[in-house]
Amino acid sequence: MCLAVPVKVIEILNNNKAKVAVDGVTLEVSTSFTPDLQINDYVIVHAGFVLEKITPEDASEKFKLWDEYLEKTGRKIC
Amino acid sequence: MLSEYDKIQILRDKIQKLSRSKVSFMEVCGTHTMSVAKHAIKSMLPETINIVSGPGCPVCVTSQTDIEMSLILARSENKIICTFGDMIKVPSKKDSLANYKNVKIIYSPLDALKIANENPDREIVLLGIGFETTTPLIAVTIKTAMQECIKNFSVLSMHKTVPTALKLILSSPDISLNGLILPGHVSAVTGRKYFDFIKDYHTCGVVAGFEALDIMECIYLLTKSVEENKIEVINNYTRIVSEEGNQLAMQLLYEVFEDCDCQWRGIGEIPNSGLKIREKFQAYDAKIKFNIPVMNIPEPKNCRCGEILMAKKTPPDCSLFKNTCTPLNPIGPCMVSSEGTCAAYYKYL
Amino acid sequence: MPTITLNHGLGGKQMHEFIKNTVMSKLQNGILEKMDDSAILKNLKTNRLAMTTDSYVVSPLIFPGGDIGRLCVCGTVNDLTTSGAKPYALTLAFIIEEGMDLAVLDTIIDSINKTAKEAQIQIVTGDTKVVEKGKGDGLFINTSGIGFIDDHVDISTYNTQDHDDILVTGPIGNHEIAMMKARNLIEFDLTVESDVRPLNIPIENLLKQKVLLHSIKDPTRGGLASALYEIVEHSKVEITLIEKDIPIDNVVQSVCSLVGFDPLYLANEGKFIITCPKKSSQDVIKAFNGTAQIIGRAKKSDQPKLLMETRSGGIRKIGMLETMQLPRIC
Repeated sequence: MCLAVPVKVIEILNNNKAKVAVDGVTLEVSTSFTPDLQINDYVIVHAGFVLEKITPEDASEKFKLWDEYLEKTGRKIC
Repeated sequence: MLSEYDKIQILRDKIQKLSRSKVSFMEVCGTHTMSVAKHAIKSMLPETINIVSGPGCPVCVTSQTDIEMSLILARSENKIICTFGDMIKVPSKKDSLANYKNVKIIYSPLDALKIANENPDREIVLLGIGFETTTPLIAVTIKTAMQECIKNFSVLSMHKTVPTALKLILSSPDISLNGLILPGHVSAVTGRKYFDFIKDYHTCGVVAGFEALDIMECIYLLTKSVEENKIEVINNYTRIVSEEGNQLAMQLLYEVFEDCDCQWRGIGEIPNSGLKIREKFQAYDAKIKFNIPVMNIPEPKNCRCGEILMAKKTPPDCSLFKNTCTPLNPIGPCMVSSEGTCAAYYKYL
Repeated sequence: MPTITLNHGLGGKQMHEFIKNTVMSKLQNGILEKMDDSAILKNLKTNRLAMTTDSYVVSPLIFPGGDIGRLCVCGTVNDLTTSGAKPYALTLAFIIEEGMDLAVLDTIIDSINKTAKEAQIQIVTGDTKVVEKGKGDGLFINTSGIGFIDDHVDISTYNTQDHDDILVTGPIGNHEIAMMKARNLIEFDLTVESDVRPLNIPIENLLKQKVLLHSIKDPTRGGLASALYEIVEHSKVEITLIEKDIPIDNVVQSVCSLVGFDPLYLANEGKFIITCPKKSSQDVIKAFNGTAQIIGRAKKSDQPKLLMETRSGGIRKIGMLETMQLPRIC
């Protein structure tokens, strides 16, 4: 029910619209649900509309999962 | 830096070690059905974990009556029917939208307004399918039509909401689910809180994205919750899902639509599970505009789409599966829609 | 704007002039301009003659990366090549719709000429018909071709063996995405060109060097998956593809993600699938200037199947394409 793709905002247009791009594809989308978009924001697009901005995830919680394993195997995270 | 592949192998290992009891997790989103199949998730899980598909494919749960109404509209040559791709092949009494030249596939609902402006002598009808992710888009389209005084446009609303169907499944004695893989993009609109109610049914849930890593993380977290006897609804798609969701989208949705009783294919009527266009916007309601008669069309005999959607049966349990019902000759929407449980089974398993 | 009329199809003066001035002046090669009803091909030494035919009904006639002219030469040349034949001669038959712009026709014939030279093949005989307006889609072309198979060559979809490498000669999906854009079925802005090109020369070079190849297949309609299914069934093998090794241009992948297409089923017009013993693979990669890639392996099997090892290490079946892919959102 939710085919949506991460893209980058490259231009803000009039009438609640913006131009977004991903890997050589550009499209015009509606920003009716995300009026405060800026250029270079990463967003998720569904059927020609921006659904939400993408915010970088808090990696620290996730890495707790890996830490245990990394300690045991002596590997480093980065 | 750990690669995605490495992280997934770590998760496979952790899930293997953690999973003791036999559990069933349901994914509630057609795009999750496709992702689980495409990334071969089941092949990476121990036998103790069973993944089942729920009623998250909007075309699959569209009733026979609604499909027939779409066809009645298509048969009127003066109309142009705009629809998303999957509805094209859904059959009704051996007919389908694919047989009509006045049916156009659109990418965005706003394309239907463009078509309305380019064809002032025709009536443009948009087939409105989808859950909480898509319905706000249709709401904005209707509002835009009103603002721009586009009169030759209307929507046949077949929209539905997820929670009531979930409540029905979770309270059914036939099914025993231990956890839900919650729809990532529906949650982006509704917020994580929207799904807290599943705790009342002693079921845990994790909001998940659609990449292989997202789904494996989700299954790990569900397995952990079950083994630790915790009933919680975790947000594991924080990069776009928040507690409250996109409130502007939800406001726009309910400005144009209101809850109503609704027929779900195979399941029957579920109260307050559908969305109909409010009176203020009734000029854009195709049911009213074209006076479509109230009908009750029976489902095709022996088609078990309904039970499959409720995870009571799997596709091989249906006598029509791979026999008379194939992607080339689909009997029910579960086979037609590229997200349908039967289509995914046929293609990938 | 000069156009084709029904008079051009009468077999009289107008047709004669059209063929002489438009077709012959560009395609002359010592045989074609004799304008005999049959072309006589002399001094042919071969034990095996490959013969194929194909009709081209593509729309629009001119698209990013090519046109129907280039396509009709490449399609038939590549078909001959898949049986290990060196393409020798083509026929060229036009069915032109009344009203067709002569300037467009000129462009297409130029393209046929250029592509035939690139493929080192001659067009030896042809035919022209004109149909009434509304009875044809601008232009239909049929090309038939013959080629010769050297005695030591044995290439067929029935020949793939246990432990064979599976290669594809470059990124997949470009042709179909370019055509969809040309037909306005995709509203996004993007630049993708059809990959249409003749592939006989690299294969000829490999065969001259006596590099052992087992099967060659062109993944046209139905894409990589459909072509591999043919090999799987004919050779009775299980083929496993490695997802991370399948080459796809980013722009093609993005379009597929946006509308929900699977690139495995998208048509290609300038690619081969080649199966061969491992010792041949590096030669194949070199012959295609480094763009060819090993994407999987074959295993003898009583239960032929086509499988995918996903990026995360899972295994799944690749289904057969049963219906046209539709853009989906929900």
